[in-house]
Amino acid sequence: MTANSSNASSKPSFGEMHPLEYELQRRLKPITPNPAYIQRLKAQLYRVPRIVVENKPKFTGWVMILMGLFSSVLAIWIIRKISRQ
Amino acid sequence: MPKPKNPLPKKSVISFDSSKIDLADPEIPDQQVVELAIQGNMDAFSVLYQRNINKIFSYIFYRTGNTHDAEDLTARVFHRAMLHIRGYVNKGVPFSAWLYRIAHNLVANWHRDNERKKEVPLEDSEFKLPDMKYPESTMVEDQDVEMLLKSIRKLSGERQTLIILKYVEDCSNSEIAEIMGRSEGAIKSLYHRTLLSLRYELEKTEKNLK
Repeated sequence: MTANSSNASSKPSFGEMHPLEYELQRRLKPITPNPAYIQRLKAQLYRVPRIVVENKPKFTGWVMILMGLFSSVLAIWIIRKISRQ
Repeated sequence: MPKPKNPLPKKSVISFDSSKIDLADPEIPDQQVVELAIQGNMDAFSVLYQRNINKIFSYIFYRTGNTHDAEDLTARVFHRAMLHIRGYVNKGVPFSAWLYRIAHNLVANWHRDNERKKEVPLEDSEFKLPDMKYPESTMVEDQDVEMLLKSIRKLSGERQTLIILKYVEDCSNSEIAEIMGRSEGAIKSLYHRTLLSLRYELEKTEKNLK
């Protein structure tokens, strides 16, 4: 996307240019960021740690569900036992 | 800790001898640098960063209107690019189009968040140009530029993006289409409607000044 890229087809030539297009081309200029900012951000990008997502063991979910079910059944059984007495 | 799987996609198969690439050579095409960056070469990513930082900052600055947010969003663009570079697909447009697209999405989110916060409407907020190097600049020229920018900021986000990409960033219609996720025909038609709206906004601003 340099100034010399294939813009010929998209940009009108000077002769056929609408006055507003000419104004836009003349007045809008790219803005350069602060050089200190450029260096600071570059250093930040180098410092970004590589994050490795640790996979959970496959059956953890099932074990949790079974444990939940078991403890619920156990709780119901104890409550029934107590209420019968 | 399980070993991370290598999610290198098929499309990023290296088609050149990467050991012979001299990253210090400014003539080296973007695509070759991108392929090295995809392999995790930080120096290659750094070259892409140096080549594109000014363009991305400039685009975001024009869309946000202040240096602070422009710096913050530019940093996010490059962090996101670094995280997702393995998913980059060459669609026949320059690499910068991919970065502009990330920037375009982040800026859209930024505007949405600002609207939710119900802060000062953007078109009413002051657009402060940083210290730019205008060799031929005069007070009158600066005022004209500010009036033009004020009118541009009254347009919809899409139209602002189109004007900035075309006139500040010098993008072609096909690049703009890729960045904005539209067809080239749609961009041409949007462009004509944008010029009409901008002319109307400029006339309105001029009337208000008189």
